[in-house]
Amino acid sequence: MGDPKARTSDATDAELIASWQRGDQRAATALVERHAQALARFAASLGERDGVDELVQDTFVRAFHSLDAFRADSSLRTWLFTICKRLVLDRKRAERRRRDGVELDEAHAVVGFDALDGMVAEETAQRVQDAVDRLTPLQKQVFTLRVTEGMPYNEIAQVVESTEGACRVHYHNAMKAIKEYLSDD
Amino acid sequence: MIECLDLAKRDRLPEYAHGRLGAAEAEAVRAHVAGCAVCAADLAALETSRLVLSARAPRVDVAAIAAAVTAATAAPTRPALSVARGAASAAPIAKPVAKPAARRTGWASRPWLAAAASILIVVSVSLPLVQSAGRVNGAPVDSASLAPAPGGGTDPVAVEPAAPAPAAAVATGVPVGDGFAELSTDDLSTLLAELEQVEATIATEPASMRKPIVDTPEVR
Ligand SMILES: [Zn+2]
Repeated sequence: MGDPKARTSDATDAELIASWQRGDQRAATALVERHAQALARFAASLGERDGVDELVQDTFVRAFHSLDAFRADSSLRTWLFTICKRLVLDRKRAERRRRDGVELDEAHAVVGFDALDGMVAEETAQRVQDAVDRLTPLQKQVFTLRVTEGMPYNEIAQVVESTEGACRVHYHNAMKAIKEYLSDD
Repeated sequence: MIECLDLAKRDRLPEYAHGRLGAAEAEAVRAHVAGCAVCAADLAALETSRLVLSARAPRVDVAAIAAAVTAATAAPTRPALSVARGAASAAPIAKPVAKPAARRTGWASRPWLAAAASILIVVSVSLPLVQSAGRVNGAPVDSASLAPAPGGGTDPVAVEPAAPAPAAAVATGVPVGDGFAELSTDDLSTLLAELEQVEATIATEPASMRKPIVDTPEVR
């Protein structure tokens, strides 16, 4: 069997799923470690800033509980992102009901960060954030998945429930807007 | 107006930036970018956006989530064929997300990320970590469980060479547009190389899963 640690880090998602289904909980841990932070980035693009740990956790629990419906020839990542998005939509619906129709502008509820620590000038970072905040929700999702995850259009299309062609257009429109913001003096 | 004359290469810039192209294609994209102002600007914006969006995304406690997930899915319904080895240590943690002390997932070994994370952690520890406990099985959510099995696609973008380009190649020779004067190429290279390391497993793994996708080109 060899070193289990090396084995899980080298294994594909499909292999880890198979291991987990055979009862190896470390395979589930490896899958979480592999995809959790990417899901958090996507959640942020959906406007989620609070309770993201919980959201990511729920995403995995739901995914693992419904693995029977997961097609092994597809990407687990796509499956996870799809579930995550649906959880966020459900959350938003519940929140909206609770607030009786009063919607927050989540994009502008985001607090300021200085996390890039001089690597990207704060002004540049703020311009990127401003530009991203002004994208349509779909543009923002597509752009984030393409840029932060390098996800191909066919997977993005599944996650955002659109077509590859539409996703391409959303990405390029988003990129155009970002570039305009960045070059704007 | 300047236009890109090779849209296929422009389309591959995200894969290029993530180091997911084979050596030959990566070199072809690099050469194209060196002579195409549109793609150079795209790539610069892409890299800056990636850094900003990644740094500003909430940091999750991966270890705690993993523990919670394994506890929640530790398998009454699964045929546990080989749980003897080490499984006991993973299973019995009941409320792991409520343990901020576990919030270390290797960032300390990556100096700039650690620096970024130290600030993010200040922000993120105020996130309602503690609220999460006990909600594992009780999320008031229905549609997620009905998520359709993801379909595949024939998009050539999905067919990726096995060998990712070295992370260091990401920013090499890339003209940086006016809007990025603050970010030196060295900084960018360093940052992106770090990002590639962090995401190395993500970067290499999904390609192998996408290879067999040959069915319907679109979801609907
Ligand atoms: Zn070009």
